[in-house]
Amino acid sequence: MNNIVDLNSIDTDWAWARYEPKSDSDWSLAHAAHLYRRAGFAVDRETLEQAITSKSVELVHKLVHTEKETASFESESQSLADLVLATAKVENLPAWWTYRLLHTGRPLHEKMTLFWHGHFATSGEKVTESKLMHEQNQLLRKHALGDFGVLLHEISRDPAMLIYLDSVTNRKTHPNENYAREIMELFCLGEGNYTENDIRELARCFTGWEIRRDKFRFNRYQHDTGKKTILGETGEFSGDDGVDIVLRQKAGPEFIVRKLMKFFLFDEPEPADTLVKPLAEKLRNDNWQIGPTIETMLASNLFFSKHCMGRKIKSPVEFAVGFLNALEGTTNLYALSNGLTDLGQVLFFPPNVKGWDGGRAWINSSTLLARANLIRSLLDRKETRFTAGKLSDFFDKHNLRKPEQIVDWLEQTMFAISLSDELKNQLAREFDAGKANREQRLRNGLHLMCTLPEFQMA
Amino acid sequence: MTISRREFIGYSAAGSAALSVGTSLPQFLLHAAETSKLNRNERVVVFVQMSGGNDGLNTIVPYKNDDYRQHRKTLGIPAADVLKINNDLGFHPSLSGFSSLLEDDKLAIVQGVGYPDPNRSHFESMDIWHSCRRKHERREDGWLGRYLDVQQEKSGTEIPALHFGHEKQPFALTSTNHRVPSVRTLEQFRLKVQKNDSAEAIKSALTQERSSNDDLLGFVQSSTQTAINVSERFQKTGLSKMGNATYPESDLGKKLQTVAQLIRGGLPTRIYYVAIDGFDTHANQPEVHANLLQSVSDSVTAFTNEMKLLGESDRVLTVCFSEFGRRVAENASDGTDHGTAAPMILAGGKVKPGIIGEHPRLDDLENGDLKHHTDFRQVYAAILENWLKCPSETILDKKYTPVDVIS
Amino acid sequence: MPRNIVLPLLVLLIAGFVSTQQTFAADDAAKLFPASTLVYAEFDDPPAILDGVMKHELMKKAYKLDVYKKATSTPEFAKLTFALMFIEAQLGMKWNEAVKKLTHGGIVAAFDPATNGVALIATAKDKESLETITSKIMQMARQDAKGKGKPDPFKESMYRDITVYGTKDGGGFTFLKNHLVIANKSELGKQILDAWLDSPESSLATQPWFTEAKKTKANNPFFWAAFNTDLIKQKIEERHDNPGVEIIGGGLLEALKAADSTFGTASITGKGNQLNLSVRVPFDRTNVSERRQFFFGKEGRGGAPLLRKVPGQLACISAYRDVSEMWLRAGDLFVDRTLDKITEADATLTTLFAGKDFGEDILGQLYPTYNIVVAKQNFDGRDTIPSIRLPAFSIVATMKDPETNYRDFRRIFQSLVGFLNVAGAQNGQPQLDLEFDKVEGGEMISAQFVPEDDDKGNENAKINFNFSPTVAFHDRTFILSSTKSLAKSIIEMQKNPIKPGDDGSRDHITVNTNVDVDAAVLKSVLKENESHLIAQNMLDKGHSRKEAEQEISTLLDIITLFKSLNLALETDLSSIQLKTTVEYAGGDDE
Repeated sequence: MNNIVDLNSIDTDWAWARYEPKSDSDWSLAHAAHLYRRAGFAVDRETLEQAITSKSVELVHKLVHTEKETASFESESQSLADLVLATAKVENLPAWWTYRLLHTGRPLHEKMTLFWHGHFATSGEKVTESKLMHEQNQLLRKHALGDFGVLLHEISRDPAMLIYLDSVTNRKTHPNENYAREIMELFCLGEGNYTENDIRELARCFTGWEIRRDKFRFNRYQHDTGKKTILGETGEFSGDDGVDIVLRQKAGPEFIVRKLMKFFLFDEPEPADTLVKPLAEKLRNDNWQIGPTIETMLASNLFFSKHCMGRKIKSPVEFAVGFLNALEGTTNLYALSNGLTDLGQVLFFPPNVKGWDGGRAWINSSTLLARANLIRSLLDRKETRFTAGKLSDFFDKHNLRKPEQIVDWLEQTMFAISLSDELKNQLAREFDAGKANREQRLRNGLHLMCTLPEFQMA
Repeated sequence: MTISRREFIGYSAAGSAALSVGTSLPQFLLHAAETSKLNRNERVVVFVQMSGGNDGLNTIVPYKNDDYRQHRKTLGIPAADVLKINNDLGFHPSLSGFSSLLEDDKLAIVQGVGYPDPNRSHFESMDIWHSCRRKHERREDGWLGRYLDVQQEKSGTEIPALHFGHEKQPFALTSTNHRVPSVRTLEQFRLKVQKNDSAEAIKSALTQERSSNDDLLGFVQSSTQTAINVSERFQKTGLSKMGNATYPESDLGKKLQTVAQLIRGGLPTRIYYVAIDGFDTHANQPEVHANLLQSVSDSVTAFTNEMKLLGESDRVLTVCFSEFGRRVAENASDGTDHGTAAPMILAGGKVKPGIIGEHPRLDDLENGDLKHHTDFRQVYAAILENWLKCPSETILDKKYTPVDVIS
Repeated sequence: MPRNIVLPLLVLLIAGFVSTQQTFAADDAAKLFPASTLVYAEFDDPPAILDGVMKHELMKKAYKLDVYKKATSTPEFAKLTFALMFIEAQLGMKWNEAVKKLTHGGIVAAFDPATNGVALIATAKDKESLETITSKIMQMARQDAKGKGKPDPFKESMYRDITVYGTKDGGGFTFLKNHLVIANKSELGKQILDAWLDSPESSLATQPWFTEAKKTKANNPFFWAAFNTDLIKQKIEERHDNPGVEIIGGGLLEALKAADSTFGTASITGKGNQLNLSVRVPFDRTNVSERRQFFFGKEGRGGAPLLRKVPGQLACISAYRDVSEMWLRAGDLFVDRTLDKITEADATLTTLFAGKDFGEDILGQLYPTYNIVVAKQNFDGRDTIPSIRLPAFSIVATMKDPETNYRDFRRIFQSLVGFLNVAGAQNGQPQLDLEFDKVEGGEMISAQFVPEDDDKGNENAKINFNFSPTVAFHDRTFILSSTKSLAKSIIEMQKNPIKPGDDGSRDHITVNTNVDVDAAVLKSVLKENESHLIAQNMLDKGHSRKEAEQEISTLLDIITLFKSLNLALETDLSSIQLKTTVEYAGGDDE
């Protein structure tokens, strides 16, 4: 009745070994599209066709090791950030990030920034100061594929984070347990890997850590200098010592790898321990360097297998940004980023400290209608252009005249799951149906395709 | 397992054009059927949040009480003006709607509701009402969110709860597994198309054979079908005009009118949440408070009466509450400041009508505030256990004795 | 603004600068339009307009703009030029000659709601030129369609012995003597032909509203239109939900809703460097309903004060509005839902204003004559300069009881600043510092934002640093200003007030509202924020930086063509008029 493959029966060595395509059918447009959907926010057709002339390993290597954006991109991004920060409205920040997602030269870094944003969830709803949210975002980007230990240390004194967790004051007489709890439960170890006592003791380490006038400050008079026992270690620990102790736990790498697997590989089922362990070990041996683990994951047999391909539900950001990227589209970015509210994901506004759950939680009647309506509103919006033109011009440019050609092309470029012939026949008919002009008919047909369940899958 | 295709269609598309199921997949049928148990007997609760702190003392007025007269020299409602409930208590004169509901045995007033060690910050107190937890406790979900989680293990495709309004979603609805939609307008719940037959095209595309029988895809497919059906149902209910019921022109009136439309349209939603703001009457209370009370009373009354007309009265309960009451003594600018205990008002065909509990004593105050005698969680417990038929202990973190307000 | 609408826009605008002489009376056309016609419009002398446009100084200036140069150097433009040359070769004359011949005797147009149709009648120089030109154009269109494998674009048919050409969108055209008749709905076209053949008793020309409207036509406008107000009247509700609309246009609603109003007219005239658009509705200002007295004053004579002028002024609005009366009369003007909100706002404002009743004790203490002054700020030499640089604005009013009002307003302002500081401190906003300045004959109390340490020398500071909220008192004048320096300029200019202009001949005219905008200052304000405008354009439209830069520079270029814009709402003994005057920048300005 269903094909949830028993992942436990998979050979672990095979799973993480490098994917070596043996034939053309093992390395097709579909494989390249899969990689760019997961490691970024989808790409245009030309990039895909270019991609299959390289090896998968090379592509992944390039994704992981592109060190810098171009100077002109950064200067554009900065001028947009200047505007958004000048308005001092945190609601305007998503448009800035969306611009980056659409025009970045380092899609994987942006994707990982989004991962950390969901991991270290902090909402502009509470923080309200756009400058702090922007700074945190830049911090996440800086360490996106870098040293998790450094990131954890820095996020622990990040003003937006501490404001969000009500931890702007922390006195030794009343240690604030909020941050200590989150770092163990949500950021590094996961439930069951610490005790309530560990939280209380770790909280003592963080006493004296304060946010004053939007900046981190260590108030030595409020720091509890006494002995603490955390996770089996005893000493006169400072806050940074506390973070280091947490980072030394064996549960940490497993917790992070598990979450990365769910983010990059498949929504279901829960990854089996046997699959998690080798990568967790690697992450530990790499001293928390995230990049190599991601590289292994994305270049693996498992990643390019049927266990992963088409086995994730697109997040709203992937859905909307991917739509535009695949069709070389541009539009009103305020409308786009705020239009994601009804889909259940607005950048800079995660629903709670746990971030977005992902998977099936993205989907309900309301969010599905919102997905369909978002595409409709993008198609109806006069600012929306495809390579700076109409959709008909775009298809003409790609020499797509007949509906059948268009459906095939869109399927290859935008769909993670292939469509049955019967369905494709119907879709092709829809591209020709109705009295509207060609542009409208094309838009109607595209809208229909984006409403399909297959289009929701990544 | 024995559900027939015809039954499924009847369920999921109740009243809407029959779905032409072509070469359908058994597992998604089953899935959709499981998650869309549209039982017309399901009970519904509508929450009306009166934000800002409603002056309970001038809502249900102890009009004969000397202490009341003493504390409320200018704001006191004259005995001649109150709509008398009994020899001691009367409604604020704007509450003629509530008064008529009471006569019709469709209104219950639970007096003296609050919680220990009351907090007088709007946000904090509202969070306490929403989460049932104090600031130092872990608060990541709301009590209604926990109810949704207890009710449905898996994230379903239907809409178990809906919030209507432009304001931020009430924390009470935050759940671990469910994303409760906040709906600004019904318009948002419509599949927007350029071509009239696009919805048909989508429906037909959904019933085509898939190239994969993956479980996750099946889930999205059945969810999409439900969404299209729900959208059509919304449109139908949205288009059909109301019967005789007239609602006040106010925002609250319009929201409740929409809720009535959805209930009438057979939407399987159990919890509706609406709010009306402005009860923070530090100054110029008389006129503002009268307007707000009138809006609440007229809207809830119109809604309850319409439910009666539709024969839905016995399965729909409306609950009005505020984060706190106001101080007993009035202030110098014709207003009142943040206080504590206040009455909660419940309306519907199955409430135990009348006054429940004593009016808090006016000669035994705590720092100038009324002392509560009923914890709000006792009312929640009654709603959960006696109305929604759901154990309350895990949701409320503790066993609370339900107030005897549901008959 | 997209490049492709720049040229048509210019043509339209310049059309207005051209003085015209009447050569043609199109009164007969009204007999052809149905009685149900709602809007009627006429261009008296299109050839003169065309000549004027082509030779106009503004057009010459436009040729020099970068935008124009870029637009004309694109391949699309080359294609267009080529197509035009081809057509001209076929016609055997220049395109503008052809247009002139076709429209020699004027153009009239009508909108008829009964058929939802629009009809246009152009009168050519003579029957012959009409036929040669149109037949050639039709021939070209037919060949073009044939070449592209499309069906004949014009379907010939006969209607009552007249040859009619139908187009695929349901419209059509025909020739009647030297007239070209075009309609977008065949039903309307038929009615016009019937009228031509039958001369019916009832037509637009016999409608009382139209004959009345026709009588008011004066000054040889090159464009003139009349519309029936019945439909508009039905649309206007007794009470509405928008206080903003009421305060700006309540007077117009009153005039349109008045029982005896049946028509309105619009005309465009041009003179020298000016273009005037005037919309006029008959109106008896002495007979205004009580609820709209706040707008017009007693006997309709509530006049706006003179416009003010300060250095760097971007705009000035002057108006007569008894806002206190409007606030208190809200019950007569607005629907219940809005009233609830007003009641709520009233309570909040009263709390904010330390228990003073907002309608009576605050608004009621000012005479109903207001100025709003908007001026560019000078940021030179400031320590902390905001990233987005907004103009400053002030409201200027006159106090009824200066001594008491001074004390009250001063106190309220101080407590408001205190309140803002408390609220701001909680939200991490910079704090305000009160300053008291004595000026000759008055006093200013202002609140300056205190920069935080890292804001010192910051040229990209928060938007807050555009503001230094100020109240100022000078004799009877009360100024509420977004900045102290603007308040100061206003007080200084008060010493040498502008003398009333030459209004002797217009003594029965009351200017109710007057708005003046200076294009050069507008441009410099936009220029100062250009980088943000470009960024905003990128986010708003998804443009690339290049596209965005292009669009903003086009916008700025277009503004340089103009000098000022003036809007005035005036009443006289029999009408209310909304006059718009655009003045373009003279040739010697640059």
